[in-house]
Amino acid sequence: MTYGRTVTDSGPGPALALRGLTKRFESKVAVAGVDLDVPTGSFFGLLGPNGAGKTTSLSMAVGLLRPDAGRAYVLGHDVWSDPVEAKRRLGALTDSARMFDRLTGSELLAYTGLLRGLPQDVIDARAAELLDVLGLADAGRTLVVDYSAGMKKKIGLACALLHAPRLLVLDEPFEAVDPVSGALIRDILIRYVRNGGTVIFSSHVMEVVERLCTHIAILADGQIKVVGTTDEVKGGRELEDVFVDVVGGRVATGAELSWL
Amino acid sequence: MAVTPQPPVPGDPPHIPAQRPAAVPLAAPPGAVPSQVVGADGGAGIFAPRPEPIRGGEPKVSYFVRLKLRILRNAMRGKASRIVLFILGIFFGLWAALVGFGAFAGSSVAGDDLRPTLAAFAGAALVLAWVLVPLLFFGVDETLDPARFALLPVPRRTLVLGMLAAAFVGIPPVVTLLAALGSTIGAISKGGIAAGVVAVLGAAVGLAVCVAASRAVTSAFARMLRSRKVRDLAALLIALAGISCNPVFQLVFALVENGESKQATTIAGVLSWTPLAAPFVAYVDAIDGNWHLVAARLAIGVAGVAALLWWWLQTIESAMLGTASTGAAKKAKAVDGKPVRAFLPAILRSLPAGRFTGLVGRELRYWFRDPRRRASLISLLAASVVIPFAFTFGFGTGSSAEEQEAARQSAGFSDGALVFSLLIAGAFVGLVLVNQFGNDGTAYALHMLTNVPGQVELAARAVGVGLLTFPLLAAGTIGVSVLSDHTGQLPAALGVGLCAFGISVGTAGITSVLAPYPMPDSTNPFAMNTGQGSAKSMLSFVSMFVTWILASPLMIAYVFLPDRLQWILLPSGLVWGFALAWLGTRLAGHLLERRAPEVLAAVTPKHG
Repeated sequence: MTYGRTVTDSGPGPALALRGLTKRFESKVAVAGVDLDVPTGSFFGLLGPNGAGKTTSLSMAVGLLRPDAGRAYVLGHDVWSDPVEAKRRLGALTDSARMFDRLTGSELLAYTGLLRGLPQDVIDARAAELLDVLGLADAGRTLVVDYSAGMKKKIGLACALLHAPRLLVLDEPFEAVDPVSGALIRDILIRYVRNGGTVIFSSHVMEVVERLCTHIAILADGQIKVVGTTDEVKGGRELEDVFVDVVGGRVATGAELSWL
Repeated sequence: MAVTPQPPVPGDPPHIPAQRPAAVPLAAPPGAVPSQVVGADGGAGIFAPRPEPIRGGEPKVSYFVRLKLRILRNAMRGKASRIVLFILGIFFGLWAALVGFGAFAGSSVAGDDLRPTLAAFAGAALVLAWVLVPLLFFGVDETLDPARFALLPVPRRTLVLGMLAAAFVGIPPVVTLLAALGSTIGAISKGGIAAGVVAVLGAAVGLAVCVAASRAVTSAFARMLRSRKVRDLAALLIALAGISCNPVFQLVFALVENGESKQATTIAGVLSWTPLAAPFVAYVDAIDGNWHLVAARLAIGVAGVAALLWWWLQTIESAMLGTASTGAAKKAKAVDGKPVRAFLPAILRSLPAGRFTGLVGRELRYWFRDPRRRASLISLLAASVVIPFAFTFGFGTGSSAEEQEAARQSAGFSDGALVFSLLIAGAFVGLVLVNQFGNDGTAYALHMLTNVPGQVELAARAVGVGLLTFPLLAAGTIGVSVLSDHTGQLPAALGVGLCAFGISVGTAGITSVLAPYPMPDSTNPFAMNTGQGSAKSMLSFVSMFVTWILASPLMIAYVFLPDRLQWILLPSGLVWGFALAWLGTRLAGHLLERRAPEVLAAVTPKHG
């Protein structure tokens, strides 16, 4: 068994493929048939307004939420029927799920490494390096529950990176993160993609997506409305204008809220 | 108050859009809202600000009650299973109310010399139950978390009264009131309508004492449990309180059997002047015609409620302020180069580091770090020590002369009391695992992402709680058997206790996978959600009953085996307990393997 990049992937093809993912909560359809190919080596941004189904789609893609219909493949391995192989190649940062936050950062990394079945010396070396690079080594014995939002995102990212996955699925990695931590996360992700990794992340911050991504998909009402490379999606316009057009938002004209 | 609006600082204008004339009053009165900006021209343009922010009406106490009712109703909407469980809860409550009504009615129709004593004990027992049961078993209904109101301009008097009013909404308060109304039977038949009215008033005030005491004490304990130093002290206090209840029970039993007891009368006399029992004995004075005493007793009850509310208010404020400040104090040197070694607790370091040791290590760390689990540790301690103590010393070892008869009558039971108590204590331990996934909440997602097999997951959790409880239970049993001079029963008691413990781990494992429910994200480790939790927490009873049934062969063997063969119960109990723990864990693991996403969804707190 190997612990990193040399894991053989079954042939070329998308790093993440979603086929007809559907999820219904009671009477509300949260995700209505999402098809998506995330090319290997791409930096993929999943845009969408609040409640569009971003978190739901990504949760189904990484095997946390059982879809009503559809399939998700990580480098050719079905997340739901072949979870061991799929999840070995996958690192995920969830926005909605808590971490085991009564551990310190170092303990959480050690725990994650043990769960991943990594050898002790590999965990020790990688955890120390990750804590150092992410600026979390100073936190010492502070429990993760007492971390700031930015530190929580960073330790979550460190846990997702620990086993050197081929695909990173990040739910709102820049949400509530201060600019300094955000820049650091960005740099690490850029380097990860440059080294051959694939990233898909959800966001509703246009600037970040526009600056980082090679590919963009816009999700609204539980469906992919637009997908393509960043240039294709923008079509020469501002990304924000495209987004508002696609999502069908309204702009305040000035007559409303006169009491403000 | 937790949050007071900051008055604008002169020379440092608040955030105002550029269109507005930024005329900030130089010396705003304290408490002024920052956005309260008067337009320079007082003009009527669309951006002209209003001179005053709209003042809503004062928040009313009734809002809290309506909010609680609305939450309860919404939790039930469209969920057939929840409605069924809620109705079951109502039936269970009605049954409890009937029993309680009988107890209070019985005490009220007793002879004139006995009535005040029984009424005082019944009342005090009710209040103590309200205080101790949430601490030891269930937690307190915190559907309305005080922290949620931190940002709203609610005067603290309204807040605490509103929270109290909302606390009356629910099954337990109604059950308590119905039970306490039992005293009207005797009051009316002996003292007429006026005494009956006093009995109703007394029951109402008594209920207020119950609810306020329960709230104040759990809230105070919640605050104490945040600091680890106090935890052990708190555990000890509760254990002592539990143990000290026994002489009281003993007296009551003697009283019921023998008619009268000087000690009991004296204790009851004292209790009747405390808020614990005063409102419940007011009607006795009404029967006797001592109306000024009636007023005094009711006043004591009301004063008690006021004092408890004041205490509660103090702890609510700290709950509203949150725990943000607690983390900063911990500053220690940076991590050394061996995260794995530092993560694993000392007793696991000699084992090969891997997934299983990691899981067990995290469980052990969590039992000491998670406030909710710390509260459960208290329950564990109480179960392992208090229950054997209570049974062994509570029955049959009466020392005073009046209780000889009672002692003689229960002597037959006393022989088996230790063994029987271990059956209960062992089964009780498993209850802390019944909602183990709910306690961890969405953090369980990490185990799904890393493909932890269900069987490994369940086994690690069982081993974790076993490492903590096994020594505790064994030490408690040995201690009690030596102290009570029942060493002859030790093998049987240990066998039954550890067997029941093993079985309870197995049944709780299955329950925890089949019926997990979310816990509120509250700073109070005793907090429970009535909407979703209390119905499902009934399942812990089912789990306990199943444990008793599965352990019953051992009890039957204990009754029929001759004394010299009773040592057999130790090995056979260990084997039977271990086998069922293993079986339950395997089965639960299989279930978890198939249900992991459903478990995660079930423990995810629902918003909106």
